[in-house]
Amino acid sequence: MTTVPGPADDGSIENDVELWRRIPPSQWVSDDSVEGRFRASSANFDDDELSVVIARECTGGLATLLDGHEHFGVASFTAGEARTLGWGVVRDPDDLLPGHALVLGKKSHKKGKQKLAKSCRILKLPGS
Amino acid sequence: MSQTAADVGIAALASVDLHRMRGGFEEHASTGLRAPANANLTMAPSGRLRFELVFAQGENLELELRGSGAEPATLWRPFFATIQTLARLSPDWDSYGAKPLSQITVQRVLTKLLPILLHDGVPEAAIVPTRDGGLQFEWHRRGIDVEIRVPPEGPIEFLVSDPDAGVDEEQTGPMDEGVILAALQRMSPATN
Repeated sequence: MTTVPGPADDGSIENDVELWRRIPPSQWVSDDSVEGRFRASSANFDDDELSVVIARECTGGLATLLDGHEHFGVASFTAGEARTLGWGVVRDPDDLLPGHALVLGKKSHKKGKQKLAKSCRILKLPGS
Repeated sequence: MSQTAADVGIAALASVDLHRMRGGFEEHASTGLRAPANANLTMAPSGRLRFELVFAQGENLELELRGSGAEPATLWRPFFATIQTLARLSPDWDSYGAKPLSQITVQRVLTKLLPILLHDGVPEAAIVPTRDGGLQFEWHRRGIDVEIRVPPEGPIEFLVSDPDAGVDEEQTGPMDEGVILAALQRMSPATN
């Protein structure tokens, strides 16, 4: 039997590591099952190479992440939450965001994306 | 140059018949990018409204709504006003390289989804652009979740989770309109 390998995953990024993602104003939805009744849409999590930043490595905090996109919101989830959905987390540093990382894996199933969308924490609402 | 629906080979899509869609939308803040009331979307007493969707990459699509003139604007205006707004999103609108909304997506929505969206008792959807130039329609109310994703090409995806009705369905391909409509109508405050 052939075993399909899972996505690449960097074990040095521990499960409790917090990941931040910018969310554009057009991708927020109301949901009366979540606190605040407002959350990021599952459509934010479509990318098989989902761009995030490791929170503790984001020098300057949210201001750095939102530079040039100040009207965006920010959602947060942990590396462990991504892994429970079958995805991996790897570093992908760049000059502006040395803590930049990618959440790797197929995002073709809506349930996984919706689960993450419902469970992630909102750090900043769009336009706030 | 402006294209009519006929120009792009979709004459049947040029007109949206409101006569069969008598339900009203319930007003509620459903998205973060709420379309402003648009003075261009006012139906004439004759019951006809023609307007143009202008897309970020220069495409235009002319649409005509036909009704009796008595249909409440809340039936159709929120939907078309939001589409107007999303059509203007530029490339990279999400800061991650997203494509702008595709005219083809809008055409697919008008043919395949509008009967659901404007059906009696269906609450107003949150309309969310997707990174591939598509649109996603979402409802999350009263413990029920419905999502329908319409890409510019390829199959439509939908998810319905309605635990009280024993429905937990995720599919790619032809939509089961009965399942979707039943879940959406159970969300309506009129369903008690």
